[in-house]
Amino acid sequence: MIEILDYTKRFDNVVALNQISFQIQEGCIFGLVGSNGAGKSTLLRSLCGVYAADGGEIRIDGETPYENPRVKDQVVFVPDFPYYLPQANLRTMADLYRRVYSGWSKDEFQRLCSLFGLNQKMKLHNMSKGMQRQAALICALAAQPKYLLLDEVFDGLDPVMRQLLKRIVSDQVAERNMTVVIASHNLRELEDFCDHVVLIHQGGVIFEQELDSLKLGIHKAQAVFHPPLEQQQLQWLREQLNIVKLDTSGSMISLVARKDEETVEQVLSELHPVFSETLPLSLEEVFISEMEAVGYDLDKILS
Amino acid sequence: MLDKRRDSSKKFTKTLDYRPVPVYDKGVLFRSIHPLWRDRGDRVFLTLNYKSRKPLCDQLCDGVIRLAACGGLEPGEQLPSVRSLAQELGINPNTVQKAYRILESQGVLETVPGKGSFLASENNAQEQLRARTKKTLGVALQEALDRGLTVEEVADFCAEYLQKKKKEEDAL
Repeated sequence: MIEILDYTKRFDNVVALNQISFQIQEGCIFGLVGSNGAGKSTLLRSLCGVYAADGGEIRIDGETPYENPRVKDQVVFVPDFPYYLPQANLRTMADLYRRVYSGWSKDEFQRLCSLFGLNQKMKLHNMSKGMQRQAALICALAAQPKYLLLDEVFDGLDPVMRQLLKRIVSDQVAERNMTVVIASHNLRELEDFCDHVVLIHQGGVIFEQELDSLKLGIHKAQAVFHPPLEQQQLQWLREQLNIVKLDTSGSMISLVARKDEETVEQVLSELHPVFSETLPLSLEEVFISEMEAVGYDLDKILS
Repeated sequence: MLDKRRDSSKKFTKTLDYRPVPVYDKGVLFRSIHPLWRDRGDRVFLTLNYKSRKPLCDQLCDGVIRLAACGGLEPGEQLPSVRSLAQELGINPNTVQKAYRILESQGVLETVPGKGSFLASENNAQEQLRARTKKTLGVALQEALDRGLTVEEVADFCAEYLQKKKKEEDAL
């Protein structure tokens, strides 16, 4: 299990992560979502022991990963820009990983090279960016870690490779109870794959929740009222429905509420709408709504 | 000196549980992403609609119930393991696990420790499907009324439609 306890990380004057706390259970596929510069990569690097804490602590299986080879043996981090030793090819990297990670499987490495179709002897810096990414993933997966940290890796792969990667990761999670933490902007992808998500903004946690309960607990609705609602009715709606966003346009209102579908329908029906419709939100919509609620929205960026 | 050049057309297969697994050649999938139980004649059993807002877990449950209700799955028949189904569909194993657990609590599946999950011999899949179908019908009727059709118009439309269907059946 990964425990993040009041963790703070500073770079000179900038507080990249500010007293964040949450847990990641084993066998979880955990999505790390956030605006650019929110602190996702910093968090992943903290988890794999690259950064030391400035406050609080991180515990992986009860121990801190920083300068701890025993923990680091079980954690593999795949960054967004893969780094390789100069003049290295896959064979060289495999050799390095074999010496570092006790879980390294030569058979798995061979199988993955064949699946991805990569030439083991080709120099990595001669490969395309996409192929370099694939190579990094092959090494990481062949090391068979207990914790796999992926920093925006899906984004650089073509759709076929993405599906292939998901299948391989699914398999390892099911077989070895591997834990995966994925930082990504592609919420559509994460939505179908993760079971938990955490939304980070400017170094703080906006929310952390199981994906299913998140989606069951937030809905958007549109309703038409004749005559249009009064101010106190709108206020009542706000209170009843834990509103994230409420817009009115003449006789139509559209809102996003942190409630389940039944509650939203029921509350709306008490005001006798001419028409009403309640829908679940995609993860992208949840992200945008929650970010607007904390002031990070297009209107502010564009103005 | 032995020629160590790798045979580039070499395929790697691996068996998971009781079924063969997709075979890849140079990263190209030999078969499309969704079909399940390919050795049963390429019939598509469980498809997932990623665009639908419906959670994957619910889609899996619905899929199994539909299969059970229409006879695609027979009582006592074994379902794929969590691992192989997750791997096949490329989805989170926890999602499959959750779906199987829900189905078990509903009495649709029976899990034998160490062996796997089987369609319960006395499952209420048929009834569940009928209940759900009625609910969908209710939603459609409500929508018709909301959009301005009168109760009489809706009733007339239903009566006409059902009469037509009956005539077609009798003609066969």
